[in-house]
Amino acid sequence: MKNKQHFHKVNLKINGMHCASCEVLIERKFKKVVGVEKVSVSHTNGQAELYCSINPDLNQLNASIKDHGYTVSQSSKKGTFLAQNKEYKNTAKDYFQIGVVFLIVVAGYLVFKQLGLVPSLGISDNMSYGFVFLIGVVAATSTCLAVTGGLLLSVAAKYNEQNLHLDGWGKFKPTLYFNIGRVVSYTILGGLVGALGSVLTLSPRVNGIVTIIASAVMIILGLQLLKIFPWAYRFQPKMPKFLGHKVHDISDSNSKAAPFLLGAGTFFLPCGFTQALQLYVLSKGDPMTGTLTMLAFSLGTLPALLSLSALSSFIKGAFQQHFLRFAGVVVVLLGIFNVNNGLTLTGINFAFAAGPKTGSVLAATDPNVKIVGGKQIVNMKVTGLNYSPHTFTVVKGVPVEWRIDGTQAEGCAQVITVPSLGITEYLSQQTEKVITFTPQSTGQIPFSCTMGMTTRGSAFTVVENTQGIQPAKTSGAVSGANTTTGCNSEIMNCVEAQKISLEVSRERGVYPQLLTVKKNVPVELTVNSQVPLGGCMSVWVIPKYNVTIPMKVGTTTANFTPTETGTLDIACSMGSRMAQIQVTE
Amino acid sequence: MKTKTTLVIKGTHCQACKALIEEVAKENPCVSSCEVDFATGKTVIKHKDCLDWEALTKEIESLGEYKVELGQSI
Repeated sequence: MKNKQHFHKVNLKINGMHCASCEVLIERKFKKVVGVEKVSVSHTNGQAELYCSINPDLNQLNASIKDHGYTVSQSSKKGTFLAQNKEYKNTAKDYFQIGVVFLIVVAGYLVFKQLGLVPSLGISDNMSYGFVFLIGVVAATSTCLAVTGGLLLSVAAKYNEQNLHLDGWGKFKPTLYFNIGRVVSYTILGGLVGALGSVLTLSPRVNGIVTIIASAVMIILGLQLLKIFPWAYRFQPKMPKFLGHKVHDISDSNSKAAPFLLGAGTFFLPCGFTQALQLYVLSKGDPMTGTLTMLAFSLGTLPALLSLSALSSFIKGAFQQHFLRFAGVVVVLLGIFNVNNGLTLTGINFAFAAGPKTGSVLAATDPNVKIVGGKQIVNMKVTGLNYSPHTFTVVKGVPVEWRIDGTQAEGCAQVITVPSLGITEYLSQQTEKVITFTPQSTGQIPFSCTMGMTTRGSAFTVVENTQGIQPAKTSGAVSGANTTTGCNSEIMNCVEAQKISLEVSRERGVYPQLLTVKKNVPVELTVNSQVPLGGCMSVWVIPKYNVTIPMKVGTTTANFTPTETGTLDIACSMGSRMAQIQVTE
Repeated sequence: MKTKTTLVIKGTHCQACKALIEEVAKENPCVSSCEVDFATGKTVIKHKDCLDWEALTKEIESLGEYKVELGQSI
């Protein structure tokens, strides 16, 4: 100890370290080099402190650890940028390079976007498998590259960094298993989705949470690759211990199962195309179609993902360092991008969420939206529980005339609800339903049936009015045409209305079960609900007169005028009878 | 007489662990070869009868957070 002062201190920068074992290994190797008396290595800042009796030969030091994949560079002699006590090893030059890479990536994305090269392909009914394959190709170079590619890249890059000694093939292997796992899982799960239905698809909220977790992992891995934040790097020695143990085994091990499983898991990673196809398969309800569709799709994603794998595996030397840097920037950006999408899915909507969302088309190019007389005409058909199409891009400030053909709607799909607009409408079995509204701000306007069982991800995407569409004059922001055939107290005089009331409580259930009214006299039905009702019970309907009653706790009033004698059903939105109204002369 | 012993070392997670343990084991004059699979922790050591297992185990475990679990001689 007291001899330490007499020794000459040499600081070295070591590349390739990632864990405590690296430290011990290097310390042991260095101690064998002539002149080195004491060594202290830290993998968190990539430095080695050597106390030497005579100046050690740098080449000899380098040679001693080269076989294990580490390289030495002398840092402190002229190393003005690298302060002795700094925790990380990035120099100003490194930061400059990271900045340049960052700008290139962002600029590249913007150029692609501007040129319309960020592609969009619609999912339509009865697609051929060749077309599905094509969708796969497009997906793998656009939205799915963001999620799956990002994950693949971060795993591959991490693996590369930890296994610098491996040759290209050795590095390529795990990514190959990743891709095989992906194809196999898509094929099998595709069949299962076809057979079992919605069991296997996650709800948007869960999907959103999965996205956020996956993105967080990507951002951390990306930051580690860039070595920007020491704290991000710190995650690594800690994570493997408990939570990350399996994950790290994945990137560390040569085992085939781990990357295979990771690849298989990408089925559940939310990527627009994957989800759209899952829904497509779901709507087909046929295992064979499901299997083949998802197989074709995953095969389509292979070319892009495999070239990404190959690129990350077969590069060497200085270029590899640059590649890791590039990968780091891309992974972090994709992570941020995905967090954003994840937040959208969980229902938290930021203004910028709608803008850069790849795959969403501009209003002018959305074939499902027609501009007629200053209105955006949107046609949608409801078949069973499916909306077709289920996504629309509309511009802000221009009235939307939403024509819904609900004649084939089943169960809860007979009622459509747009929570953010406060619209809940019963879809008539006989006529087309028209709902008009004017989007006031950009973002997503999701809609579904009251039980959320209809096509997932159904929404209007509201974008800025960049085409200069002149809006038609409308009276109100939100109005439901064809809603009530009865008395509307805002327009008509409803003094003569027959007032009847229903009560829903824990004690008495629905009371009374039977109400009586006279024909051709407006009815004002007041429902007093004392219990919170969910699912199909959250909206009650009188199908014959297209009346919807949102069942909030408290009182709700509905108006209609019975035109025929007989018995009227008051039902939940799925059609179960709750009470009856007797109409007499 | 040479013996081949298979044991499991818990806590190995990377190439560096492998290199480190193999290195330490081979420094022992009674060990002629050592192969560590860091993914599974499975370690095969060829050694002479003079090997002091307790000392080697201690030495390996002192390198880091490793735990040596002896298997049986084959």
